Amino acid sequence: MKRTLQDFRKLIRYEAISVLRARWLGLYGVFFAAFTFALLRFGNDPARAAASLSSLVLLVVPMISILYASITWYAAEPFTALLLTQPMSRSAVWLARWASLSLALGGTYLAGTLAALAFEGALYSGTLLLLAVGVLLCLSFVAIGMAVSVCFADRMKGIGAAFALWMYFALVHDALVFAAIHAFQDYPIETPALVLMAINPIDLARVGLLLGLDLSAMLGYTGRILMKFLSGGAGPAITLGGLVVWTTFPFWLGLRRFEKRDL
Amino acid sequence: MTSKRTLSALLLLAIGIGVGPPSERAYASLPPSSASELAVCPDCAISTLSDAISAIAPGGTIRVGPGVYRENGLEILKPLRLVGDGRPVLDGGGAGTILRVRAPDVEIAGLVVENSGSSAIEDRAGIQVLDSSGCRIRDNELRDNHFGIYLGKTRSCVIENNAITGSGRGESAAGNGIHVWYGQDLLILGNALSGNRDGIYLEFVGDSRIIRNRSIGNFRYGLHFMFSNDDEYDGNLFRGNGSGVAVMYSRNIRMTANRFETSLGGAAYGVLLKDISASQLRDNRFIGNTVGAFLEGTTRSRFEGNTFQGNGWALRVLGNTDSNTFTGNSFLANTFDVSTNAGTNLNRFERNYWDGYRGVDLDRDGIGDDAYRPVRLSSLLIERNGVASLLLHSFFFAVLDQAEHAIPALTPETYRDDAPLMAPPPGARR
Repeated sequence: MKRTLQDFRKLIRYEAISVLRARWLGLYGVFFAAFTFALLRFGNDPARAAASLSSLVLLVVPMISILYASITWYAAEPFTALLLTQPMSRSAVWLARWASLSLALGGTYLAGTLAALAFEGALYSGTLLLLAVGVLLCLSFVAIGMAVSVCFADRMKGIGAAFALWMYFALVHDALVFAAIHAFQDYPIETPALVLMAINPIDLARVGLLLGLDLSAMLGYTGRILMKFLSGGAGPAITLGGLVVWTTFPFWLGLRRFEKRDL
Repeated sequence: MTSKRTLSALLLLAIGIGVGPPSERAYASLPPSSASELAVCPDCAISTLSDAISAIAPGGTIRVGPGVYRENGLEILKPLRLVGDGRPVLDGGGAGTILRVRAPDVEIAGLVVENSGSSAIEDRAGIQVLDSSGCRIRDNELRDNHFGIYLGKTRSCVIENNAITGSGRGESAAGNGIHVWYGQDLLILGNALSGNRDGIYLEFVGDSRIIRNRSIGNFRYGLHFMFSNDDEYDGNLFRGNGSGVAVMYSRNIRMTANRFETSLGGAAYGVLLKDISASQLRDNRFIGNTVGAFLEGTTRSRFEGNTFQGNGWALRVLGNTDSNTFTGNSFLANTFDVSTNAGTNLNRFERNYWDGYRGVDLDRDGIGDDAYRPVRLSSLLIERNGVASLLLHSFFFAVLDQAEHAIPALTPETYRDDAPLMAPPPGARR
């Protein structure tokens, strides 16, 4: 354990430097800053802007995180192989890779959005929740992207699988949930539907944001049922906790595969 | 035969006594009184309100000094003024209606009236006015009464600047702040109402005005009309009530420049219109409600210059609603603009500003060149199955809405604004 930490400390410096050197990472941050700024400045309502911004974050952050993690994984494969010839614990290598990618992507997102929000004076509980959810989504999808990549030796297959998985979480899962809700509409399906939300990190993030940003509509038909589960601060707490699980679980799965794999 | 005749004579006599205006009856039984002005205070010669009320001459003034008066069941049977100085407290001790007025032209001002207790059998109130006219109830504070001010069969009364706080025991246990049963030509002005079942409840009330009241945090409705026609409410604030205002089974109600805010919940509406006709909503603001305005069986009414902002649903329009006109309204930052359970639209939407409108205005006349369709597919899907609201703001719903927008298949084709405004009308603030 102690050795792992020592290795990690050594590795993270070089990993972080190599990841942060990527030029278009800056573009990623500027994109969020510009988009947030434009929404707040030229939109006609801060609440509407926050809703649009959350839609964007829910779509873009997972996509970029999973794809970037996957592409980086394959690009760095020779370097990883070289590292592993050294007396180096594999968990340290895995952790350093995840931490540096998370730091780079999460930090860039956070810096870009935070700068624009602060500049427009739009920092309040709703947008702070959005920032936190965005960062957690990033941590989670970096872990998912690495876990997928480590399972495929072939680069194209790996990146393809990562993209397909993003597609599933972003779109297909909700379509299936909707089909299920429709098929079982004569039954009390509120609780199963909530469980179906929890098994998708994007849905988890979205429901948490809804509770923070768009309470009035959420309190409509399903309001009472939802409130029973998520009353008070429980909603955001469940979301944030769920996303932590959605980070550690793929991280652990990927690490197990990485430790056994012949690389 | 004789006994029968005696009996009918007795019966006639009894009826004779019962008939006749209540006030006349009352005067006859009162001891003669002469003072036209009396002072009451705990240390005065007259230390109870009941003594003062029997001693005062009709039309006289009773000045009530500061202190606590533990009295209830006070009956005012002649015109008089009852005026508190230094907020004297009239504590009913939970034993029933505290002040009951059965005479014309009575004024009650500056009192704190509290603790009528509640009962399942009788309607207990802080101040009750029955079968009379010309009353004026102003600047009082009513606390912990079942009903605050109760008017039964009254006309031409003014209820002004009272603060009425209910017992706060929930919808079924609390009474209404101001409760009117059969009334005509009333003015309810500048009162503050909270913690009641309904802030103001009007049943069979006509030609009355409800102006600049603040109805906040009542359990059921801020203001409630039942079977009341030709009334007007103007400049009121309704915030955080079960629903803001419910107008039911009424016609010709004018609703102007009110604010309906933060009514949130499963059946919470800024304004709930049920079976009403020929009414007007003008320049009102609906902000942050689950549903801004709910229309059921509403006909021949006009919605003009209202602003709907940040509601879950700005409008929920049921299929039995027809021949209404919506024009010059602004729809800003609502999750859904309109939802409906109907396949067709029998109302007219024209020249409203919808912030979701994406069309262009090539001839620059301020009116968009394409129609705006305010009913989104996702709102229809949620309307059919509420659990689907878990998918609000999802990419999946966005894709469905876009597809439906391109090729409408499921949303009602006739729900549209053919002349959407490009900018909010000047009245709508952001």
